[in-house]
Amino acid sequence: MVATVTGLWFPGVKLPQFDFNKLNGWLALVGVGGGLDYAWNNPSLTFVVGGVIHMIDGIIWAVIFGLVISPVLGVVIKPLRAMTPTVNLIKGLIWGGALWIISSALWMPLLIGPIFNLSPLNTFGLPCGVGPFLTCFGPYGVQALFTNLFWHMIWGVNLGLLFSPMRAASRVRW
Amino acid sequence: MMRALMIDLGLLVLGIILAVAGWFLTPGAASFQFPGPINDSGQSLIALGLTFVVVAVGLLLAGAEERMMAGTE
Repeated sequence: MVATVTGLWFPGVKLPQFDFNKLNGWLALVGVGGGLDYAWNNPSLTFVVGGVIHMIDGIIWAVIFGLVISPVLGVVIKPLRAMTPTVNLIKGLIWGGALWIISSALWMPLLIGPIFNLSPLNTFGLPCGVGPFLTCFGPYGVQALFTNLFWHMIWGVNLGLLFSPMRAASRVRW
Repeated sequence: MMRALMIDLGLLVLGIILAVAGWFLTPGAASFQFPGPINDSGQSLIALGLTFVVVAVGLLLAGAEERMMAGTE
């Protein structure tokens, strides 16, 4: 939630706006009525539908972090075994960085890219979507990639600071 | 502990310097009108600088929590 709202404020510091709600809304509504017309004509609905999808997205990735990634990092990387606030934060940053790579390399180019019809043409004269690693994100170049990193680090810092697991004190499991 | 604090503060200062440099490199005022100012290197520096700032603030908060926990034990 914090990262999503911060992404909407990015133009305040001269960065491209990262409106993941709208992007998800376009993705969800692209098939309704053919093309993007329905989504363009109903911006509020697009924002709300995309927002719900993006919130659920964030919760699922956070649950995966808590149940799988954080314990596995503690086992695989010995210095990350301690459950201190700093170690939890570093794990959150690692997971945020991993999701940044997944988002830039796969999610955005493969899902969001194809729905952009007005994107600039690449060297082959074809619409480049959002480009590999967001290098053709509308009128923006490589700054979109780093802005995406900034967004995911905000998410990772929040996750790492809020997630504070405790070691089981007894054999009782729940 | 002091060394970790110095690293955090160094990261924070580096982030602020990068962001400020990027701000001056990017022409025009901040705008919520699409597409707003566009400058590849300037905006990349702003994004990287603010990333360092966010990470440094996170590390400072986590360090402060650790020191508080140690103090209450």
